[in-house]
Amino acid sequence: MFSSKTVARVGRNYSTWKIWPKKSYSTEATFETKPFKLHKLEEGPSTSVTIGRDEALLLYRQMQTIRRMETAAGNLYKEKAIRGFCHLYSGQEACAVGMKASMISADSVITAYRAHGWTYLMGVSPVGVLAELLGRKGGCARGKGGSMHMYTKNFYGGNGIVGAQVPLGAGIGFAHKYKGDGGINISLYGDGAANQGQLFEAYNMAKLWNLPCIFVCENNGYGMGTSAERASANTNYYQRGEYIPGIWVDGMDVLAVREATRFARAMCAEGKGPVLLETATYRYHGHSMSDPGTSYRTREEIQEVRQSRDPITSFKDKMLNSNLATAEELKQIDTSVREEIDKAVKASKSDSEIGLDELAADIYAVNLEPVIRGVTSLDTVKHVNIGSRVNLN
Amino acid sequence: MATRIYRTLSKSLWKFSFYNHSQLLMPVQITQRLSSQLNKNFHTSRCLEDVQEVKMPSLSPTMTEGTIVKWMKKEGEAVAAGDVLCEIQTDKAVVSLEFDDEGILAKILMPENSSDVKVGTLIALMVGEGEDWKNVEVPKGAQQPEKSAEKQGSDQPRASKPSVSSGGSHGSSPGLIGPAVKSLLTHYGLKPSEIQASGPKGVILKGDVLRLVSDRKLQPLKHDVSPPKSEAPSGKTGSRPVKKIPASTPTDIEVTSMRRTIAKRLLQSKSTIPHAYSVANCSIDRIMKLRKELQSIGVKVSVNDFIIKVVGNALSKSPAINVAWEASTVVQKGSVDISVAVATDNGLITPIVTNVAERDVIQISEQVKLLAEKARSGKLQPHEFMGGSFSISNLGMFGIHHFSAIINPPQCAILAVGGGHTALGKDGKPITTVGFTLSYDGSAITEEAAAKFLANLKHEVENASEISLGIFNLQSRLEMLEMAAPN
Repeated sequence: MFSSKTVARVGRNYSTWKIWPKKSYSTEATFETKPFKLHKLEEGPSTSVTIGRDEALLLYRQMQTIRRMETAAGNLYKEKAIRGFCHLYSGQEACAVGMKASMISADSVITAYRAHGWTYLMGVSPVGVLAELLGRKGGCARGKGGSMHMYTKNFYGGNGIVGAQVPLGAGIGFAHKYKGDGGINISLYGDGAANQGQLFEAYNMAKLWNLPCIFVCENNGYGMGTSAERASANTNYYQRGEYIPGIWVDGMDVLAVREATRFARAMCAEGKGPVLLETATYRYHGHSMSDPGTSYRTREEIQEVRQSRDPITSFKDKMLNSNLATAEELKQIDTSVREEIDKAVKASKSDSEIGLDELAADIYAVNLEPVIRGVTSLDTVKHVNIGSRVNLN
Repeated sequence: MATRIYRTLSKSLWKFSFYNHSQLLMPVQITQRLSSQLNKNFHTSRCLEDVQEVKMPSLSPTMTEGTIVKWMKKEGEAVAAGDVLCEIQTDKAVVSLEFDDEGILAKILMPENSSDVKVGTLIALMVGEGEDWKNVEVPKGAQQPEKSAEKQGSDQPRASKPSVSSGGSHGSSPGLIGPAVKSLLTHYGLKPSEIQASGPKGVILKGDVLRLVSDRKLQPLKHDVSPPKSEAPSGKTGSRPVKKIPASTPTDIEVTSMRRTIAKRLLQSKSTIPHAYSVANCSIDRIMKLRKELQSIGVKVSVNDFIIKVVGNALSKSPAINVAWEASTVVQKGSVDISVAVATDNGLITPIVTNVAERDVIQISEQVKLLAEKARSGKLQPHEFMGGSFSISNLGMFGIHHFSAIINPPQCAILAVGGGHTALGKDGKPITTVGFTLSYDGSAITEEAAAKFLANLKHEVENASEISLGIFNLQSRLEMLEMAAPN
């Protein structure tokens, strides 16, 4: 145990923390992932992945925060505090967290309506997400967007139209290439949207112009209530880009996703054009809050996944078995995440809604007309800029 | 104790050191967490934050209250994420409530069959794994329906506050107490001796009480409306015999949420839809004959199933009846989906037999059996009883001639089926007739269309055939099936 004297010294001088005695932790560990499936690729990502202790703890914390935040959102919905749409990410955390771990700050993301976790990872605080869900002023879109419309720097949002974010993502990829900012774009869609025609148009242009885009199909097995097998003639979504190289990755393994993204990102950055990623994952809740989620699959199926493939539990086991962290440390993270989210829920609930004076606020970043048309062309509303403008450059 | 605090301190600082660059934890949060950690080590009592409250959820968009049908977990039982805690009857169906976290079900505050629990009411408490679930503290304001008055008395969490006593007799009363002061004292459960009097001759003023109330931040006591049973020490009330309610007095029937929904919808229907009625008597001899024939080859189909089928046929000939209101337009439905009234203990519910025109009478019979079974056990899914393009209500089994039914909106017509009665046929021989009463929405369906439909129905009933019922050549088909089956 640490002596009180050491504590006092460190308390005064933070710079000495590096010489802290490190008990018996491993500083890093190597794991074997499930084999990747490849399409149009000679060589794939390495199945042997190494992670440092600090990063592992960070990924664990991020996944736990998303899970806890979604649980809070689900409860708030059942209290009727959140109204309208609400799609939860529970079960799919490893996809977003793994991808984020391989991104650089110039990279951008665009996703569909299952957007809460990504919004948090891209830099919005849990209060910013939960307050947005509750329609409060402190939300990242001042409560005007709700569940499907959250934005922040380099995050082009939740999008409400199934599949429509993918052509937009190709456009953002084009912007990265045009400006030469070194970034790439990640566009996410589900196995349901994978059968949309506009995706194939986006693939075509992305490949034609060699845009730095990673198209990610988050295959959670069900497009709303229809299983992938009943909806797709070819359920190998990583092959669906035809002329675009594809990688299948176990989306319940955060390290595998991180490695696959790193590999795909490097290809894009080298100017080799788009890459298609399929993350095989699972969603615990129904498609949205109005779907109990048990009429097209059994409760046993869900519990089976929760017990044997849960992204958080399985990563926790890996960390414990390789001595990357102790059970107490992880427990402490759980507790602090829980406290953070509980606080965020309280803060969001006590926040106020915006007033009617913001009816026509922030429609344009730069409004060229003096007024905004009202219900008829005779009554007009004044345009104001209040919220922070993002992605305007 | 000291080393434990230091350890917590050191751990937290250590954490800060590698999280500060990831910007996940700001220094402010660190201090807050630190203090909460210290608190946890100082106090032996459990922190309230560890207890998770489970509230009655809103499980359908229109649900305002629900009934707890069954608890799937017991107090003290471990719950894994995704497990079903309990089954709740909403205004539409019985839905399972899943729990998204893991922990132990510490206390059930609403027992099974607690009906009409408002959304948001506390129904249970959960604690974390490995924690002491037996001594969980029930938050103030939580309803405990079944606990007796004496239990509430001993469980009072506000131990520091004086117990209820309506002033006067207790302690030395200092002089005169005015009615306003007396009322305040009773209101806040205070004794006159606790108040520092500032009036002349030690008289307590209203201001003195109010000052004490605001100083101590007291809340007014909640008074039980029910008469006190256990605490009454006087013999008068205790010796009074309990009156038995004679059988002739009226009893209150509890109105279930389902009954309330039915009442609301019926009232809305009958008061906003201009109901019009047409009646036809049809001979069902053909149907009875076909039914007997089916019985002779071992296929049991009820008269009601035949009626569903022939009504389906008549509806496909009269699409003007197979309509429903959608907003302000009348929409002609593409398929014939008939809602069939099924009586359950809670009231009438109308599961839907879909695509009646395309199914044969045997398939219809099977579907009706399945739906009725589901309806009785409350397991109908919303899509199985919402929608539908026409309704049938059959009370024939009770022997009545005719009756008229109330339209089930947004549908525009319902057919009420009476019982069979013997009448004289055209050739002077006895026939069995059944009375069909069509209630239809006069604003959506014309009298002429209704009359034509009944004419079509009469024709379908009286000329029912193997072809029209979809059971043509049934016997040989059955034989072929038997031959194809192994053994």
